Amino acid sequence: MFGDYEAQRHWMEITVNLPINDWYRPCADNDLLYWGLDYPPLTAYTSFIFGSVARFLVPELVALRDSRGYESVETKLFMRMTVLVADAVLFMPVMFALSKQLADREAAAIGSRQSVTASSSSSLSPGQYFLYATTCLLAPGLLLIDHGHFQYNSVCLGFSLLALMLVSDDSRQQTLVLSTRDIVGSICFCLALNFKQMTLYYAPVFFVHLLRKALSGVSLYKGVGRVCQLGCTVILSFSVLWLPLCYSYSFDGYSSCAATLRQVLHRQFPFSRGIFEDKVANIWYALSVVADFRQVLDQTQLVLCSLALTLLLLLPTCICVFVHSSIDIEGLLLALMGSSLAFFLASFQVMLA
Amino acid sequence: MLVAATPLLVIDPIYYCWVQLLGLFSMHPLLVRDLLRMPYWLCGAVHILLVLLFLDQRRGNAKSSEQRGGSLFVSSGLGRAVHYCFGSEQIKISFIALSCVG
Repeated sequence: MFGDYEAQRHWMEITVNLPINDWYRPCADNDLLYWGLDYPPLTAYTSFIFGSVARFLVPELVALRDSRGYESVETKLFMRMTVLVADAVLFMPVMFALSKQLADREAAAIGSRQSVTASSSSSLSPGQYFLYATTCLLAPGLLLIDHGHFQYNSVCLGFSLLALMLVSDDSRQQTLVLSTRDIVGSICFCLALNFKQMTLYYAPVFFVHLLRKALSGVSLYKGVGRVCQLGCTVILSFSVLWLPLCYSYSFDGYSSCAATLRQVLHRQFPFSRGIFEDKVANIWYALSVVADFRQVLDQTQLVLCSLALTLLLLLPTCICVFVHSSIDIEGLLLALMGSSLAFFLASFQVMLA
Repeated sequence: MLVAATPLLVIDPIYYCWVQLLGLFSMHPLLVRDLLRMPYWLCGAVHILLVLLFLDQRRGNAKSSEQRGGSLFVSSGLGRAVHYCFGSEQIKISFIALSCVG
């Protein structure tokens, strides 16, 4: 019954009506079996912001309990508008900027292969650039999978692409230096990761790329210092986003706070749903036609198998990123493709949630 | 995966269009289950149209560049193959065929 639209609406209902530490745990007003919140905290905060606006504009959309399954023209319009706002504020500008960067880069590459007089014609005209950017924004995967299923995926994708632009080695004088851009890029990627766990698809590439930058061209002591700097950035970003979930606990309730955070983490990786579902065409689904591993292995073994196979498929991409002295934005995009393909094909399907 | 492939269209439109369509095909059973069979075909057709249009315009750029003494913007083997196969007539035929599908 219902789909992702109802899930997103329900999360608005939950976040605006319940105290923050009840968002992820079952209680009288939060039945987790009914589209319980199972995305990271930034999604919850976004739902809270949109839900707060909905309280004024379409209060029936977020009425506790009574709004379940409720749909009207106004509520649908509001929900669609929130997606468009998220697209317009984050995803579209980032995609336009990335497209521009790639188009300029390609034009420069072509120009360098051509004579000086011909190089001017190798760059995209405004019309061509608009067509290129439109083609990117109207990509069928984005329209059907991300928007068609009513997800705010554009937020995490926008943050991921922004992080990519910041940490890539393009237009740098000194590519080996870990700069402020890399730190800001790390924060952006943490935001993406905290919006949707699916962004873990990209994590190995970011990790290996930044690790290489941190360790390159300096002594081990300095390199470790840089890694610590990045580590602190990640820990701080996660702390800012996760600790508010413990807000209502007093200091003597530390164990309860830890339990809440454990519950939030547990909600995001529902392994009990099985290694695949919903006919997503990964390796496990394809193999089930020949041999169904679910009949032979228990859940823990399946998790370990899928982890091992995912790491194996990730290895070539990660090695490639690590050994290259400098990786431009095209190289990083290709690495992201390889990494996400490895996860899509071999990881436990909860990663697709 | 697909969002990372999308901006790379400018590097090699045909190859990354193929990646998009192949990636989308892997979700075909899910989309059919969700009664999105028609949007699946429509979105795929629109994407091909846009890529062909973009490719055609880039070819126009390359031609004018070539006339002024520069080489083609496509220097890779695949790029040359695309240049050879997708003359304006072929693009027109593709447009008509895809319009019929749409």
